Amino acid sequence: MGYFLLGLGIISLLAEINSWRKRGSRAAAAIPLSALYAVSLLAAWRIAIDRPLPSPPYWIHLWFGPVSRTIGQMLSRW
Amino acid sequence: MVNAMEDTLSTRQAVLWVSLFELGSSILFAPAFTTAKAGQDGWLSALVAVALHLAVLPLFVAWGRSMGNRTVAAYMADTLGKPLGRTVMLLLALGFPYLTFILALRNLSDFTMSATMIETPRSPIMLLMGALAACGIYYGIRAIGRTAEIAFPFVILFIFIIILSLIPDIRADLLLPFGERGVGAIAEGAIPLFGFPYLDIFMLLGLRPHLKNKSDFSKILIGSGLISGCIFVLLILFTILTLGGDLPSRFTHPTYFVVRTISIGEFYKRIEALVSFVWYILIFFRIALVLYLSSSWIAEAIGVRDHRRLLPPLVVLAVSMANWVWPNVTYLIEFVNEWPYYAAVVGLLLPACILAIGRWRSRPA
Repeated sequence: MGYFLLGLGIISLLAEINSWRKRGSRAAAAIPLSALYAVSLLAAWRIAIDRPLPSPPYWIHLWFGPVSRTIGQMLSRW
Repeated sequence: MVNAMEDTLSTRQAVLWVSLFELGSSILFAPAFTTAKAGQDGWLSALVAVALHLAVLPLFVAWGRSMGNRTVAAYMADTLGKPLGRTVMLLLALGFPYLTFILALRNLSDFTMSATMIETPRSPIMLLMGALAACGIYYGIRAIGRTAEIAFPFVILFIFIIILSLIPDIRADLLLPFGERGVGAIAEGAIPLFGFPYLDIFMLLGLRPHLKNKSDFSKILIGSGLISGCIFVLLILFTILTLGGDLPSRFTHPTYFVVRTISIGEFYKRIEALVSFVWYILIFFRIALVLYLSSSWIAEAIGVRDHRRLLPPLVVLAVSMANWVWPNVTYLIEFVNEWPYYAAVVGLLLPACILAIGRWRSRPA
């Protein structure tokens, strides 16, 4: 499925490049769009090779887990 | 396809879409969150969560008034300066609507794989729904607003059928003893529901520039909050009346389980497919809204004029990320207790700070 996603990402990137060629595109918009495509293709490739990137909720868990437990304990005492 | 300037929502369409957005995802889990802390008083926790939601609404109404006819990104740029405003907007878009989009896709695949299509891999399920939402957004938010008008009566009808079907199995004594775990437990049970979905309302400011009547923004927030709140309270109450205060917290999807127990006269049973159907409708509206907000906020932050150009890479990236966003469903139960604090920072504290800066900068010299 990772390779399918990768293929889908590449097809949409090619379609986007084709639209730049037809309409012309401002460089200011082309750079962030290319960066977004690069990140999405990298993520799809990491899924394809079964080596995913670190999970975003892990950071939420790391920072807000202790806050959640402290407030939970305070409310339980009440 | 609709011109961006003509892409407007009526007040009615916005109320219905936002109600469906608030019910999406959490309708399946809400009885588990609330009863885990408050037991048989979980329905009171739901009432407290709705009251808290209504209490914080004035902040977002004030934000909306300060925005005037500007978008959230334009307001941020005017308040914080262009470079800082755009950077904050980009981080906010990635850390709130886009993360919610990824989590909603994962919720969808978790539920589908545990309830209906057990052997199906998760990526195609997420990709189909992501692509469907992207198609809807491509045709304009008015198209989704109209779809919400069509879908809403069916959702209410099916929820009404589910509640009516539970009536023969209810036992009033399961609500007793009343207030057994104390006020603290009721408040603690309200926090997850307040955080998910009610702290997501900051994102709704992204819909405000598209409203035909912008002065109705407060009506939309209050109306949708009351509609979704009533449904949450009723569903949690009927789940407790059927299963008691302890059992719902042991299931990841208690609303689905409670409907599986319905059996009237040995011929009216197994109507849980109705819950799946309702939930797929609800999750579509949630996913469509957060995907729209992600693409439009990121587009404004990075200077892309047509946000629809971002839809394909955003969907591919989200489907990839949703695969590893948490290891299994059990992690979700722990994560849901932490999400409200994260959502309070990005969805309540940060907007309050930006509003305060905006007011301070626009004060008369």
